[in-house]
Amino acid sequence: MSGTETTNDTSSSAVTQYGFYKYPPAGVGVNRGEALAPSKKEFEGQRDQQPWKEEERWWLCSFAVYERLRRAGVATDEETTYFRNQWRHRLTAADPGGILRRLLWGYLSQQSVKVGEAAEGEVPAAVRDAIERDIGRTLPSHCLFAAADGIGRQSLRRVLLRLSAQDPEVGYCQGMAFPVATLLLHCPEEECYGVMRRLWWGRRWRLRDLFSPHFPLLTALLSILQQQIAQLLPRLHRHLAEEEMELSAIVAPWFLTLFTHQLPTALLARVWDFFILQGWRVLLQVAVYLLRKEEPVLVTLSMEEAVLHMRSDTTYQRVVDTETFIRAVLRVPIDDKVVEGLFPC
Amino acid sequence: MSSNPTPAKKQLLKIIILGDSGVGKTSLMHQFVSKKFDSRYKATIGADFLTKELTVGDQVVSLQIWDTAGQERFQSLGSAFYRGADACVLVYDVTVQESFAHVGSWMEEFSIQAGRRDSVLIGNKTDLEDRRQVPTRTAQMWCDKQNAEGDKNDKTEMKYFETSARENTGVEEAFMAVAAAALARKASQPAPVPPPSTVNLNQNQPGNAGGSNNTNSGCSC
Repeated sequence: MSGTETTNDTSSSAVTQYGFYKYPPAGVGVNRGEALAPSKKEFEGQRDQQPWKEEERWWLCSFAVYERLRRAGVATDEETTYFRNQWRHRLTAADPGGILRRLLWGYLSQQSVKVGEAAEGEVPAAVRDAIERDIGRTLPSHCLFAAADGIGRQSLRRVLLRLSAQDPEVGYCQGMAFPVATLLLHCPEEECYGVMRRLWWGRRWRLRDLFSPHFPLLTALLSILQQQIAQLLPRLHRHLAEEEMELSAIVAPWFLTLFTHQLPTALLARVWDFFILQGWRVLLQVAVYLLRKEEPVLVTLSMEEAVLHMRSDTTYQRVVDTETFIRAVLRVPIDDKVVEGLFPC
Repeated sequence: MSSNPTPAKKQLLKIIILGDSGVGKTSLMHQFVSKKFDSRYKATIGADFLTKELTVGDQVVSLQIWDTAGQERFQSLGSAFYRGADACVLVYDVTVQESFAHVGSWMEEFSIQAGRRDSVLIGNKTDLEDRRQVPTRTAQMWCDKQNAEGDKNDKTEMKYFETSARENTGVEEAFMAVAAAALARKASQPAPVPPPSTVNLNQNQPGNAGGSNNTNSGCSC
């Protein structure tokens, strides 16, 4: 209610507020981590810091009312739009916070998505190996995924195996592990798998098209982004053309990992709030926003330098403050129609 | 060492590291560039690169090392990165027979996208000797075969190295070899647009290792 900042009294702990190990300065230490396992108290101390009861009540009521209309079969398109707008406003107004977020992602990803029974067959050995290789290379600095056979890695492995089993055509693609691991930070394994499946097949997200061979959705996203840059960032657009720069060199990793590889956790959670509610639009907005923010620098760089510049963590960490960031992102003018064009039919 | 106000013109060399997922491309790059090994690298999505300045012979070069995603379907995204490469590093894992079997197709893909270039083949993870599946001799013979088969007019060379990125053995040698190969190629090629030459008489000009065709006609269109 009062909107005061929660105190992050984690400075003495080995992990950050989000469970990432605090690394010694770059270049020091090799097998760091193992000795730094966080205590149970450190986690518990971070729970329930926010007074979110009223926020919770609002969401639960809203979902309950909508659900009743929907089940009674009287939720018209207009009504649905009304609710979705409400949810968007509410999400824009404030960070729902950790525990409520789990509920929101679970419910919002169900909207207008029908996912059939998963046909889970055998996973071919090659796919199994590919998954196994990436298990230890996904958020390795997070305490959940640091231990060689810790519960985090076990969950990650099981969810990835099930995901590739339910869609053998796509199987496993590098990049997939990052959104799964990110979801596992917010919810337990079964929910994570459920949300992933809906993002996989649901027409708002179509992750399967993102990861399937030849990356059809990525190609479509890149061409939309090209158009948007031409309109919104003409200087950068000219520079890209003059230098024969391949935009994909910079932005492909953004989309292929849904920004989980780049954005700091708090920011990412906020971006995903909107990704789950609305689909790809917000990720395109983030892309345009980041490019716009870095435009003055980018137009002086070669492609190699630009990749290096946009890869460095500081580019993302320099972001002012989460709420200022997300509001600025949501103001990036990208037409809904453009995004709907991603998925004809 | 970097406060020199008028640094001599550095040669920029671009090399690409290719190979199956998980063979240790990122680790090799980091070991060479920053002399450290971390068993916790994130999987490479898309591509990534680091640069390192080094001296090859008497030439200061800036080596730009591109690290790529190893999964096969990422090859279709790779072409943008291969462009303008001066040499390539092919990596396999000595404990995974399959990764060695794929080296040929990685090389082919690279040749299609960037043209034929000198390369080094690296068998990585020699610290896991007890799990080795690919004998040194097999890899060396494969290399020799590539060298013998090459086009007479467009001869390229492949050297073989074995490394352990974890224990930092052989890494320096392999990268120095590929840097030398890349530099030799650069030097033998006429620069497309000769940079306006400002001859600094106080310094030994390191440029143009070949020396013979150092005409510098001053055409700075």
